[in-house]
Amino acid sequence: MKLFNNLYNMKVGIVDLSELSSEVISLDEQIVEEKIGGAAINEDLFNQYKEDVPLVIGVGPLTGSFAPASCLAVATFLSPRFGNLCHVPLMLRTGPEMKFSGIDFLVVKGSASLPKIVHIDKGTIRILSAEHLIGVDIPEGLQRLKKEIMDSRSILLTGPAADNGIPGASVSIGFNGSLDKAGLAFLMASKNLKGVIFNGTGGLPFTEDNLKHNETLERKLFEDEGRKNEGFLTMLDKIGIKENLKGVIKKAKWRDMACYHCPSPCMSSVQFTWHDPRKNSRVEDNIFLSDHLGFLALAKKSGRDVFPLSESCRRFGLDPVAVTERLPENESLLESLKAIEKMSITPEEPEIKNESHQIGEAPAEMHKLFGGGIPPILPGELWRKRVCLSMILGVCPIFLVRFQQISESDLLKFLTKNESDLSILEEKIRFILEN
Amino acid sequence: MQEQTNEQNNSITLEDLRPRPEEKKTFPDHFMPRLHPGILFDPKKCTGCGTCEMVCSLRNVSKIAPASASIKVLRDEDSVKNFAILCQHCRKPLCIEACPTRAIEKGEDGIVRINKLFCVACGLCTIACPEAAPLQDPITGEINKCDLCDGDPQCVKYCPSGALILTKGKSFRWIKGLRWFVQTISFLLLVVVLIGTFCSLKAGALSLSCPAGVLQNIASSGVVVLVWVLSTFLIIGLTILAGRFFCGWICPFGFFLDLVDKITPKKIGLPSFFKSRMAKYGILIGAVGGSCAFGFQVFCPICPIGSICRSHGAAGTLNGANMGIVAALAGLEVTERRVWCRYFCPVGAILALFAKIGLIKIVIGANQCKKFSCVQCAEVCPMGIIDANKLREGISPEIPMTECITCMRCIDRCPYGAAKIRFRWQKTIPGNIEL
Repeated sequence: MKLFNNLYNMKVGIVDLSELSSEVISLDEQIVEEKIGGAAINEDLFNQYKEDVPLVIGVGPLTGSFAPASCLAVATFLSPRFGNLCHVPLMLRTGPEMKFSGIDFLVVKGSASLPKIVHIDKGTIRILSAEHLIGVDIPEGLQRLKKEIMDSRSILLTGPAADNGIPGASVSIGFNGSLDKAGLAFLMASKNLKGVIFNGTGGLPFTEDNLKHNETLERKLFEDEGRKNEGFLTMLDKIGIKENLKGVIKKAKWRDMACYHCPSPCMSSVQFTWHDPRKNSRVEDNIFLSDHLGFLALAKKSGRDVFPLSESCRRFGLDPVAVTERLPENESLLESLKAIEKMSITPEEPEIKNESHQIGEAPAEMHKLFGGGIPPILPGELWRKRVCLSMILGVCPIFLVRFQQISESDLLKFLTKNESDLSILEEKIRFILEN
Repeated sequence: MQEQTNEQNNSITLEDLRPRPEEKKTFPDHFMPRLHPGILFDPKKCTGCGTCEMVCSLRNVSKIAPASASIKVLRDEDSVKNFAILCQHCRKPLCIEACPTRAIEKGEDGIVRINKLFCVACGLCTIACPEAAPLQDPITGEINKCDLCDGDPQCVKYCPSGALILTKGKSFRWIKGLRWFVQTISFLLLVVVLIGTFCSLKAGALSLSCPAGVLQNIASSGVVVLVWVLSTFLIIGLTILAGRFFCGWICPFGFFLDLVDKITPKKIGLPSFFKSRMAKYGILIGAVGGSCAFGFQVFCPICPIGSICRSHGAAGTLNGANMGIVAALAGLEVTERRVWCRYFCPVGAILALFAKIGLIKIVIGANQCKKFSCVQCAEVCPMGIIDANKLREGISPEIPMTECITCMRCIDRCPYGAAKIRFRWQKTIPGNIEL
């Protein structure tokens, strides 16, 4: 049953930062048959290279395909914050760009003596110097990178917080932040890996059936609730948000944003004007809201100052949840901004409180397994199964926990239409989920 | 031998198939807007999911390969706004001019296509295009450009948020017809039937006067008569309601200039020292000051509007010096359209002051505007207040209602419905919120 050969490049990139060497090896077909993809294969690769404390990034078979919200890449590593093996979802366009760049899995082992960037294009890996990006904030870093490297369709970058060894640092996908609350950025910094760039210029074969199946699924999705969507607010509503904060977001919302091929956006960009106490002037600003739990945590503490504070977190590459834990109570905006800036340079171990990871009904341990950023809006076991499924197939976990009407077999039909193959796949998935 | 010659004559070479420069489809202006198809991009609806790129690439390379698509959705990281790069199927495509192999043609359906048979992928079209819409395929190296899928664009069909709309180019031709009709009737009424009554009309209790005349009257007599002031209410009220509607639709001298404009080539540039839109205010102040000093209405005898209104009939001034002024001002039309109205008219100056507090505004460059390549609104504006350079830079120009004569030619001409009339208080760009 070679269902996956067309959906993968069947290539694994191995980067040894200690040796500053890289190689591209073939992906073992047997592993793909057994594990299907995404987090499951990542874990397998992690175990293979366990001694080198690897960081594994991988995609699922559906990543980049016509399956709805097929945006996912998964980063698997030993979390420096939680102490367990962790699978962090990397959304937006990271997954498809990784797959289209010619490799399906990337194993980064060892650590470099000087900061480096890994660039992947057309199945070739380059290790580039990133010394000049140390201490530079994320927007500035991105700008410099884009000037230097034209072929950079998707960029994972760490900010000054990670450079300064802050455990609460968070990796940023472009300038859009991420759901990394498990210390991916910290791990990258410990390896002297400043960023990873994917330039996806390749493609995936397609079948007319998949396009039609996608249409059918979209119809199914919007049959009941229609296409009415409030982007970021839709998810906040499900988690639980105060009415006044909802009003503030509603007024400031400019547009809803989605990850790759997602029919129902769960992110938004907002425009707002605020009084910047550092410049003592009114400033017009924009911010992209993608981290629901981070935003809520920060809003709980800072109220209406949540937008500028979120922007500040993103600029320095900090996780808002970690920031909230260290942010002093009842501080002015100026003090809070100064505190965030200080947090990005002071390597002080934050006190990790369990409450912030126990929103909703998902068990805290399970929540931490998936990076701590996926809103736990379903009852524990159901949430776990949906997230696991998404992590294996390469579909957005937020999309799957949100739309339960998309069943397992609905997604597997993108891989095969053959009934017997389908039942074998379902069986395999069930086995992986249970183990 | 004879057979061979015949064979040579009958063989068709690529050069024979290639369109000749003189055969390039150029249509007369009055015909083009009806065949101006294109895809409208609504940045406010776009979620950046990239589905358009996926389906577009299927047509180009039969693969899901967003990098090979003819449409690119990019995100400005600073402003968090999406924008699309796609062919606008320009009225006068620069890519056609630039193509050294004459591989690009505009069909009679208005679609600009690249003939892959002749294209040598030199990329000159990409450089010439103001949108950089022809894109080099990273896989095949060929130049890809939107051909609207021959009238059924797949990106429009599959866009989940409805951000892309196919337009075949619309035109409110009735506005133009209606305006000519109203102008003709007004001209006949004010010049032929009610000779000279524009300056002052008294019919029973109804009293109507030219506001500039009333101001001079007050200045020359030193007395403010309420009836005189009230007699300007019609024209002032109309201005508050509909901007300088009088200038664009009713003024007989304006109509006369429009007629002259039809037959006058624009070959001479107006010296820059003439080009001050403040000059009309100076003339108004001069007229009022002069009237005050000399004790009579100094401007009225030479007023071109009054002159033309009084030009017909036995007491007309057809042979008088006034008509010399009319002729001289008509002569200025060889420089720019409506020179008198733009720079010198004191009646227009008074109306401009009231238009500033008027209820309406003209908005250009809402979401539908194809700023870079179209600029038809700027071409047709008789007052020259739409900045074509700003449009080419992608900026929506602000229309100063003090200068706009509400002729609505921009609305009439815009093939995309991007020029609109709105109430002053209506928001046309997303509003910021105050924090």
